[in-house]
Order: sequence, then C-alpha cells, then structure tokens
Amino acid sequence: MSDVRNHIIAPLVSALLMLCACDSDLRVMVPDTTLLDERAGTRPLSRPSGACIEGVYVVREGSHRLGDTVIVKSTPRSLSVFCAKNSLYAVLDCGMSDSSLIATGYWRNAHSPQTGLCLMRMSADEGGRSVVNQQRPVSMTLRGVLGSATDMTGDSIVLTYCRPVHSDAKGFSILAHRGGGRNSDRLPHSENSVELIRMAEKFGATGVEIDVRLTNDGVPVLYHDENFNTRLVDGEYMVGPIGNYTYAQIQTFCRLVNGERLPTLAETLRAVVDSTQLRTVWLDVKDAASVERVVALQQEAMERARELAARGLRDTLEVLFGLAGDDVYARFTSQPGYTSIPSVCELGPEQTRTAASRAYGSRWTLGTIDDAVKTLHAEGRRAFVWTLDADEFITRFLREGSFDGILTNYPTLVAYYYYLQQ
Amino acid sequence: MTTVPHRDRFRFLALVAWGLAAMFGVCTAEERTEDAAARHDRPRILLQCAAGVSHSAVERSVDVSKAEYSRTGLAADVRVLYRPGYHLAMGAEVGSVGISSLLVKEDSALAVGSTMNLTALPVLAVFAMEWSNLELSAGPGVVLYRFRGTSGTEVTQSSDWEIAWSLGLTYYLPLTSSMRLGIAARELVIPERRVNSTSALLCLEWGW
Repeated sequence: MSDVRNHIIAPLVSALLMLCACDSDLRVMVPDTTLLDERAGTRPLSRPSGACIEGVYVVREGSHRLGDTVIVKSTPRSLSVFCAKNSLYAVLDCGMSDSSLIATGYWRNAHSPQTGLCLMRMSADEGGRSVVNQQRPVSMTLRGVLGSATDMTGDSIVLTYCRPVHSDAKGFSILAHRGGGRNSDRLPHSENSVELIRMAEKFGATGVEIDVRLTNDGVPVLYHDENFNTRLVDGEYMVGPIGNYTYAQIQTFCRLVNGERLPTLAETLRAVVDSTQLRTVWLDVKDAASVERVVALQQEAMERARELAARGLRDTLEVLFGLAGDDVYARFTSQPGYTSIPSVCELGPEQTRTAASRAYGSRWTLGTIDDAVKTLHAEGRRAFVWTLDADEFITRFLREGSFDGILTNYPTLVAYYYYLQQ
Repeated sequence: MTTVPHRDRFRFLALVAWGLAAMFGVCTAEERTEDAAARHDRPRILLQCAAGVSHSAVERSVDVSKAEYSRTGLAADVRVLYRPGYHLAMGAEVGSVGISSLLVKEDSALAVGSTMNLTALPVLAVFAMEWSNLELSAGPGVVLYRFRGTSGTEVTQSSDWEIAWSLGLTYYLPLTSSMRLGIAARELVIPERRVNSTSALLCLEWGW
C-alpha cells in the first residue's frame, strides 16, 4: 500500500496540482457608465460653467468614504473629484439642463481595484442655475451617490462649496507619468497610449511625461521598456527589443495591453495639441539615435499649438525634450541651435545650464534641494521633481519645497494636495 | 473592462513538489520493491531523440484575417538522461518547437508575401519516472523564444529568453536490449507568453 502511495499517488497529485495551477488574472472592472442615462437630454458642461463649479468642497455626508474635504475640478465636458482618503477620485461626464447640472461616471480608489458608478447633481436652488448661467453662485451643493460597479446602490454624498482652489501665477505643473499612470494602477487605458493621454486632464494633470523609442525603420513611438513584454503589450510576434521591429510590423501585430495601438510620437503630439488643453509634454527620449527626428516633431507640435493658441482654441503648450541619459545628452548638445530647443535635463543643474534647458528634473530622493532650485529660478529656469507618489512626500515637497511641478503616477493625489493649499 | 495580468508561480512550486515527491517515493520504496539484479541490468545512460508535429494554443488579440495563419509546426528534441538505478531518471533536454507562422495574403501595413515565424528552443531539466514501459516526465527550464519576419528582401530577427516547463508521456516498445521505440506526447508551457504547445512525437532511445 505504501508503495502505491509513494510511487503513484504523491507524484500524481503533484502533477495534477501543477496542471491545475492556472494563471489568475486580476480583472478590474471600470464600470460601464452607459448604464447611467440621467444625462440624457442635457448639453455638455461649458468651460465657463465648469470654471464656476471648481473649488474646495466640505464633505457634509459621506466623509467615511471621501474624508473631510474634496477638490472639484472641471475639464471641458467633465468634472473630476479628488480626495485624499482612500486615494479616491471620481471622473464624471457633466451635462447641463436649463437650470441644473448632472454628472455621471465612475469613482476609483487609486491604490486599489475598488471602483463603482457615481452620480452627482447640482439642483437649480443649490447653485445650478447660476453655474448654468456662467456665474459663480454664493453657495453650491453637490449631491450624489457612490454606487457599486453595476448600480447606484451605495453611499450618499453631499459636498458644499467652501473656497476657490489654490492657484499661483506661474502655473504649477502636475505631470502624469507615462501619459497618465502605470498599467499596474489599473487605469482604463494602457500607459503611453493616446487614449490615456486624452484622459490625463481628468486625473488632474496639467502635463504628461511620455517615453519615446525608435523602431528599426526610424519611427519614434511611445514605449517605456527596451524589450517587448507582456506587462506592456499583447502581441504574439513581439519578442525582444522594440528596436528590432519595423513600424509596419508593430502596427500590424502589436497592441498595448488594453487593446490600443502602440502610438507614434507624431500622432500623440497631434492628439495632445488638437484634443487636450495640456500645457506640458515631457518627452523621455530613450534612444540617442532618435534625437533629430524627435526634435523635428517637437518643433512641429509647438508650432501648431502656437497657431491654435493665437486663435484662442487652446492654451499654450510646451513640449520639453527630456535629457535623461548621457548618450542622449551628448547627441542633443551636438545639434545646431540646441540652446533654443526646449528641454528638461535630469542629469544635474550644471548639465541643465550647459544644455540651456528650460527646466531641471530632480529625483525626489535628492530632497527639496532648496539652494539649487533658488539658483535655477534666478537663472529663469524651472525645477520639477520626479516621481512623487506617496501622500507624505507629496505634501512635504509642496509644503517645504519650491519646485514648479511634480511628476507622479497619481496626479489625482497631487491635484488634491496642491489645490487644497491655502 | 481592464485586465491586469497577474502571473502566479504556483505551477513552478508544484513542479518542484512533483520532483521532490517522486524522488522521495523512489528513495523510500526502492529497496522494498525493486529487484536489485534486474535494476542493475537496466541501462543507466539514456539518449532519446524525438521528432514530430506540434500544435500551439496562443492567446492573441491581433486580427490575422488578411493572412494565412498556422499554429501547427514541427517539433524535435534530444534528451540525455541518467538513471541512478531507481525508477527516476534525470537529465536535460534541448529542442525546437514551431509555435506559429503567418503569411500576409492581402494588402495591409505589411506587403503581400511578408512572413512571420515564431519558434521556441527549449533548454529544460528533465525528471522522468517509468513504470512498465510508460514514462512520465516533467521539467522546468527556459526557452529561447525566436521571431523571424521577412518582408521582401528585409529580414527581421528578434529573440528573448522565457521561463518554461514541460510535461511528457512516452510509451516504449523495446526493439533490442539497448534500443527502444516510443510514441510521446509533450506539453511545453511558456507562462509569460501564455503559450501552450502540444507535440506528438516518435522517439528513439538508446541506453548504455
């Protein structure tokens, strides 16, 4: 009997265990917001009305979910709500009727897969009428529900306007890493995709950082890693370095993990200019060989943005060439007229001066580097810090540092703490 | 809906458990069950050569409607095993498994006639147990995952190493005292790539 046990059962059970041990996907549902039809018959939130509704709101009901205060910000056609508690945020499409506002969308916890449907209203008597008429009312109240993933059963929330959001004259930059955040943060679109970049403003970002690599036939595309891998792409034939493949091969057989096409830098910059109000694009250029091509696309995008800004169709846009590696830096500074090419240098204040960079990108572990930042400011340059994700460091750098912007994977959190400042 | 891949490593732990359990079972039971004389007559060094066809299950999301696409390919491997006198044999395997191939038939971003081929070259440890001419084998290792694409005169090649494991079942027919013919079924799993390749092989074994 023991022979049977030793020879047959133990190996067989182990082998069966091995066969049954399947990959487990952690599936995250971003709720289907088409379930909500409350906005039917409304017209989209206008920019002036959106500006009226922005502010710091006190949480009258639902503080166990949202904390004591939230930030409400608007982007064209939408409202976003940022909280510190549970890193919760809500992204809502907003419609206006004759005298009230209604916003539907979803809420998310930035640090966990928790999500659900969300509905918010501002009635005519609680500020809606004034907002629709593009006037800031004396008082505003938003009422809503944080629902479940499939319906609107959940916690009631009531938010009362308290004061305007913080702003400064020079314009603080909230820069979303990899176009809005990482794949590991379970965002609705893949990192470094055009679709995510189009959402970045809804996450509170004023700019994006994107990664640029070169294909075998010299097309700059957005991709972070040196190699294709299943963290970033879904493509049977995508193996090894991205630089081995032509763009036609990538375009045909490669998709980002959430199904988007791997975008070229050219189409990305066109999308930023034409369909967002983002103010900053930080190009993290990975290949020295791509410098000339990237500079040409950078100039083209800024020129188009200038034309649109002159016609009042968008805010100004600054596309910064990122200098993060010695080889890229050497190639960049060998370009004729490089001092007039807008750039952000991560290699140190001295290299920032040599490259005539507009900004220095400082690693957060270096601290608030007050003296260096002061000197850079005196020279007319800016200083950004990367990559700040934790609440305690975001608040510390905002409180104690004098940086002009923060690069983060969690723009919703930075937006909350930045706009909350008195 | 957003899908976030999360790879667990349970299958590798189970594989290790299988190997340990097999060795434990053999070590504890061998003296009671094995005829020592017969055991010492059996070959200790085994060379196994196998060739056949493979069919791969590949998770893919890309439209291949404009192409001739096949997930059937050729498979071949060579194993060298050492049998220390028990049921268990241990050794190594190298081989080649065709995963998929594609020929572009209609105009797209790629020219008509462009080809793409994927091949896995496994380098695996092998643990094999045999009862009555039936051999069960398994082993972890790596594969060199190779892509080769052609478009006109342009050739693109790229490769990367991936973790893999295999499971196999072979039935042997003795031909001579040192040579056997076998039919084998093998499963090669490349978890990171979400590829499972099943092969049917004819196998020749020489023993010394």
